[in-house]
Amino acid sequence: MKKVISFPNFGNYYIPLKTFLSKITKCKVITAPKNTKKTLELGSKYSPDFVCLPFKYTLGNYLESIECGANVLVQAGGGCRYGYYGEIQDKILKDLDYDITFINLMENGSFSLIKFYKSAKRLNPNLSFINFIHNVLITLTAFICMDKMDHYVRANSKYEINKGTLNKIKSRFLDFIPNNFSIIKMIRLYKRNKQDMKFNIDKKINKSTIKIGLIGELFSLIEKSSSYNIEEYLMNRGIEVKRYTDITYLLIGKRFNERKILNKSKRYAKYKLGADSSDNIAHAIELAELGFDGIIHLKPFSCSPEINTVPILQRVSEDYDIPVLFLTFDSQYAKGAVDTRIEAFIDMLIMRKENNLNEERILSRS
Amino acid sequence: MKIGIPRALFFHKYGYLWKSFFDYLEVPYIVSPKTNKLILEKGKKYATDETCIPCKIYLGHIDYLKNKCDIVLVPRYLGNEKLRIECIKFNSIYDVVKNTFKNLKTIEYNIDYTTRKFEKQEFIRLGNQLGFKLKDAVNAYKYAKEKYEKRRKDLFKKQEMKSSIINKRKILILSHPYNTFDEIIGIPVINILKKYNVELIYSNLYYEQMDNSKKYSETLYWNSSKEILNALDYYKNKVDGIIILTAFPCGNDCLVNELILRSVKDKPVVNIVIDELNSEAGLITRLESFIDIIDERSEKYEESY
Repeated sequence: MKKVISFPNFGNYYIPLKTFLSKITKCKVITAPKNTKKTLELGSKYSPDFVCLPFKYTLGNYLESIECGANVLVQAGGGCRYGYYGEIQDKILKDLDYDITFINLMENGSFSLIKFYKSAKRLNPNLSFINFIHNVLITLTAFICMDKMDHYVRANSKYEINKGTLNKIKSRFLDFIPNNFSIIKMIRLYKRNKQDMKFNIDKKINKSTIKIGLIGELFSLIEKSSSYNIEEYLMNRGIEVKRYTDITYLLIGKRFNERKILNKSKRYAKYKLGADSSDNIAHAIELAELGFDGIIHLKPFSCSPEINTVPILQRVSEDYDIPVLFLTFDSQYAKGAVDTRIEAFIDMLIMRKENNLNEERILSRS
Repeated sequence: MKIGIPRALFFHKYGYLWKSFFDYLEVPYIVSPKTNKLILEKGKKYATDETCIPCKIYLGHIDYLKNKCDIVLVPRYLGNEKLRIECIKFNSIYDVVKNTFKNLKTIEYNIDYTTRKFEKQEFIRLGNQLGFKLKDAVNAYKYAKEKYEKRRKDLFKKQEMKSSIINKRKILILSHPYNTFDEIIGIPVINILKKYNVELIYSNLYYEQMDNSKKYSETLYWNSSKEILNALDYYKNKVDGIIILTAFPCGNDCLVNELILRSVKDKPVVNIVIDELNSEAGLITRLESFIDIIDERSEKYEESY
């Protein structure tokens, strides 16, 4: 039987991942259909009752891609209980009587690159370790370039001369990634597109808009369909958005920043809180210090690490005088309710800012 | 100085160890009463609305203790080994308590393999924090640990006797100690079962000799879930039915329950999820029908011979 590989949706990262997997395994790779309501319903049907949203979405992705002909499924892991997803999803799919090979990249409680290599070698016996590492490095470069570009778009979309140009350039960049799959070409492509972006913005457009920081659980932040595209919604309103969590941060940044993060969150948390909790607290403090107007905290229902951060973030909010909106997502689909809450939050922030400015003016006059 | 010990979470596992430790050092302590509705209400007031009930109850107990003692014992557990870590809520309960109750005085110890903090040295640190000399603290720990281990072995032996009784229905209760022995979560279920002349076997009284959890799961890394799987492996063939007791919304349990439900196929299993809005009538109906299923099965079993 011909092997067809598939993996769950995770933001835009499927583009380099697809090329990467097809390069190292020489098999056909298909991406799971885009996350829709159907995906979620399919996933929740076979999931345990109160498991968190990412489990339901990824299981739905697997079921949909099996329908499309995939028979080798890949699952990674890390952090909280995400590391244990693979085994249970494997069991659920096997109990549903699907003839599939499930590759779980977790070993001894952490993500293992060597296990990845071994499973890739089983699919493609000609794969050499150097070739594998080479491709891993290219993929990492692609991730870094994509994240840097995302970061740039989030910070500068309010200066656009014509609305929507930055996103257009970004999607063009994403389309070109598979054809430029080498380190030098990737960097060159990135630089070219970034130059293009610089021509399309005008920093003199002085828009005194508000700034909002997005923190929270990684899946809701990166796979935007699971959190009703809040980021796009804010950017369309001309708001500057800052988000720390992306794949570069999770793979590389987190390891190097650990001490800094712990130092920053020390005032509120004596110990490391597990998963991304300490990071989120440190980021909330940093956002407050950078003069952001508000913070939105996203999490799927029953996400234990983020629930732990809620009482601490409330203290941060109190001490630094910065409003925090807590949003929880589950399989119930109610976009209207979320939009209303965000809109009210934005209005509140704008009014707060105006009030503060007025007060300053009065103070300076007297 | 009076130490307050909340009767929740860690207490049901390590309470005896703490008590004997403080007894040896002759430090006065009070243990909060068994969980009641008032404590749960207070806990609900303080906790984030999405946390699990054991955590809400824990905060309720701390609220009860906060004016009745000088200092409250709030430990933090990460785990002794890399692949046997505790639930993520245990990692952060200390900081959650600290941030919820602003002026609460706490005493703590921290068990964390990543920074090489293990039980013995942390108990000695606990003794030092209370103002005792190194020697006293070491002796107290040794005394407490010995007593604790002996009690665990005794309880296990007692349970062995129970599990070898032949002409009685035996049901295995799979749950974390802080669920089984809590007055709001586990005790109602146990009380109902006891009325039906059932011998109960508790997974948390099993004294672990060997780690057999690999048979069920290769990548599992939670300590208390591994304990449950080990107990399941040991008692599986000695009991007539299995009850999985879960508190809503336990993150680890919802995955591990799925594993147990899918891997135990020759015994009746029921998964009972308990949340703060529990009605006794619903519980009685489910447990009664479960016992009926067990009886039916054993009769069929006898007929077939």
